[in-house]
Amino acid sequence: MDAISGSLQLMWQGMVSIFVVIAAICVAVIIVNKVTKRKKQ
Amino acid sequence: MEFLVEGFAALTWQQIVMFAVGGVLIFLAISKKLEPALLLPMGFGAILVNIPFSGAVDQVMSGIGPVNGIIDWLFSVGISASEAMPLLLFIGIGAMIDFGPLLKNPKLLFFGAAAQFGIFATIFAASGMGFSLTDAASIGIIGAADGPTSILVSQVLGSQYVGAITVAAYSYMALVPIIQPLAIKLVTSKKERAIKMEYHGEDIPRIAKILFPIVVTLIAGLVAPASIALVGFLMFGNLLRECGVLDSLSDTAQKVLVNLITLLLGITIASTMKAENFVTLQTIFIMCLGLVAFFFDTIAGVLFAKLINLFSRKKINPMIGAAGISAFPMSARVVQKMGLEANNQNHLLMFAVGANVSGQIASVIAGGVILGLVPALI
Repeated sequence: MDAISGSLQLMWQGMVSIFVVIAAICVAVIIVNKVTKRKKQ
Repeated sequence: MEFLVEGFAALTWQQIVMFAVGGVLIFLAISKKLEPALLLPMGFGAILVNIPFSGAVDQVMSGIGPVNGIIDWLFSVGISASEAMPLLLFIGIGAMIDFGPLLKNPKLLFFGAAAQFGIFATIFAASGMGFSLTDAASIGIIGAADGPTSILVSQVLGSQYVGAITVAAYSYMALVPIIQPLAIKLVTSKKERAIKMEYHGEDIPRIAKILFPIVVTLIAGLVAPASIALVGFLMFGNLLRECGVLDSLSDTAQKVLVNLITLLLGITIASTMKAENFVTLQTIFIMCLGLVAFFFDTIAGVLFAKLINLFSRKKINPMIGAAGISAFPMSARVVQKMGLEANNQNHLLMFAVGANVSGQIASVIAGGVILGLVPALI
C-alpha cells in the first residue's frame, strides 16, 4: 500500500476510533454524573 | 599543540547553522517568552551537540575508542529505551488539570475529538510530499498540539525527524495565540463569534472526580490499548490530584516532577538535533507541515461546532470547537479573548476550558490510535 492511500485509510480509521473512544467516555461520564448526583440528593 | 585548533578546523557549515538555530531558540525563549522551559534547554543543547568532537555525545576518540556522551546516554535511557521522560511528564500534567468543567459538560469531549483532524490532514499532506507513512504519521502528530505525545509517537515509530518534530510542536504551541485567531476568523463571521453561551455552574461531587480518571483509563485501555501508557499516566496524575489524600504527591508531581523532567527533556531532545540529521530540506518541510496541522485542527474544531449548530436549538459559539486542541490553557484564553472582542458580555472561558482539557484527553488517545493503526497499514 502506498503512503497516500495508507494515510487516507489512517485518516478514516483514526478519526472513527477517536470518536468511538470519546463517545464511550462521554456515556460513562454521564452515567457517573447521574449516579453520584442521585446519591448526593 | 595542534589539538587546540582541531575543533575550529573540523567545523562544518551545517554545524554553524545549528549554532544559529540554537541561538534563535534561546532568543525566542528569553526575549519572546515562547515555551522557555523547553526551547531554552533545546537551544543550548543544539549548540552543545554540534561542537566538533563534543564530549556531550557518543564519539570514537583516536587511541581510546568509543566514548559515551551524557546527552546521547540520557536520550537512550530516558526516551529511546522506554519513552520514560514524556510519560513521566504526563503524571505531572494530569495532576495539574482540573477536569471539572468537562464533567459538568461532557458533550464538550467531542470538540477534543474533532480538533484532532489536523493530525490526519497533515499525515495526508506529508505523504503527498514523499514522506513514508511512519514519518508522515510522526509529523502529523505535531497536530496533537502536545509536546510529550509528539516525542513519544515519533520515537516509537522510529522516525528520523524526532528533533525537528519536537521543535515544531513546541514552537507552534507557543504560537497558538497568533495562529488560532487567524484560522478562526477564516471560518467564522463576527455574528457567529458573538454567540452568547450561558454557563450554569454546579458542583461536581468529589466521587465523580475520583471515578473519572479510573473510568477513562479503563475505557481507553479496552478500546485502544496502544494509548494506555499515555492515557494511564495522564489519568494517574489526575487521580493523585483528586483523591484528596495524597496532596503532597500531587504537589510534587505538579511542580518538582514536571520541572525536573522538563529540564532534562529539552536538553535530551537536543541529541536528535545533530547537524547531519537536522540541516536538511525535510526540516523546513516539517516546520511548514506543523503549521498546517495547527490550522486544520482549529478549522476542524470550528466546523464541527457549526455542524452541531445545524441540528441543535441551543446554539454553541463555534470558537469553542477551536479550543478542542490540546494546547492548554493558551487555546481557551484565545477563545475567551475573541469572544469578548465580538461581544463584551460574552464569557466563554468555562466552556473553552472544558473543550481544552478534552483536547488533552483526545490528543493522547489520538497518539495511541496512531501507534495502533500505523504498523497495520505498513
